[in-house]
Amino acid sequence: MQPIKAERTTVTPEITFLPAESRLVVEGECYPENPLPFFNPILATLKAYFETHKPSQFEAEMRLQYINSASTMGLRSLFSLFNEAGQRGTDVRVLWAYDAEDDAIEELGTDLVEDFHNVLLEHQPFNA
Amino acid sequence: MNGADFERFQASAQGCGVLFYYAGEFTPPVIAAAADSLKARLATEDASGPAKRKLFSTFVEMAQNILHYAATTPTDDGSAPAPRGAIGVGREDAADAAGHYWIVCSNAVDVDYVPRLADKLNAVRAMSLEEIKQSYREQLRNPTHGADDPISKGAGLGLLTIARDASAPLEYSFASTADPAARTALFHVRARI
Repeated sequence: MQPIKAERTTVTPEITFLPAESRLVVEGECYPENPLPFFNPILATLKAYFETHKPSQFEAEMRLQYINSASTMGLRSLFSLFNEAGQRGTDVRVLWAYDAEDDAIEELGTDLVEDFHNVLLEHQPFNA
Repeated sequence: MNGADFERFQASAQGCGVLFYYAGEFTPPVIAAAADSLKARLATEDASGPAKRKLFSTFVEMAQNILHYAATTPTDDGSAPAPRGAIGVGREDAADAAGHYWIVCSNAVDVDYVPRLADKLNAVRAMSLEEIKQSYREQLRNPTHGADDPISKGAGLGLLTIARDASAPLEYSFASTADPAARTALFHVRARI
């Protein structure tokens, strides 16, 4: 499976997916007016990856400085994939990094895993 | 507009504490560019990081609402018209609002949507911050949103996101447009950050 490297744009974050390392890194701001063209390819690749590779562990590092409301549903879909992988035995860990002053991103992390008991979310506040 | 007119215009804007104002077409590239310039403008403001973040977030949500929901007037050549609207951001000047900011948006809406919009706004206005957050969590977990709501195009989270960032209940109003035959009304939403 090929790695993904999507450069950061004004309205979408940088995405790095390294299947060999079972690792996804998302960093930047996310506010496209239509999130589907941005999220769908990543969701499709990760879905195929989890189904065919069944990794024993997976780590996602999320460093979002801002996300618009429309994109939070895309993130919810991403976390849903993580949870399904977790149900099939993958040890899924999400590093949720956010500006210590940004309680919107902090609470979004908690809200996203509310029903997803197979995803371990680790909060990591930082000082900008 | 001559020099004197322009000075009056500037004095009026300064009197309202205007920091940023855009009116015109709302398209994805225009919104991205406007959001970027608002961010640069706020960077020079002596406001807290959270206040700047909330203003930026509210701007994006308001702009994307205009893009998706503003009523448009058909063009003469039949091409799809771009949605139009306006957003302003400024410092509150009243003594009891020191340190706060205002952000206002306006756009045309179909008159048939006015009762529905008023109901939505009234429901959110009546919520406490904790109730807004709870409603947000429920919407986030509701993947069927849209199936039972043929008008809403988003995740149903935009208005809740604006309300969550505001430090007072959202204010809104509807006004008649200049054209009495028009099937549209002017819709304003104002948030205090």
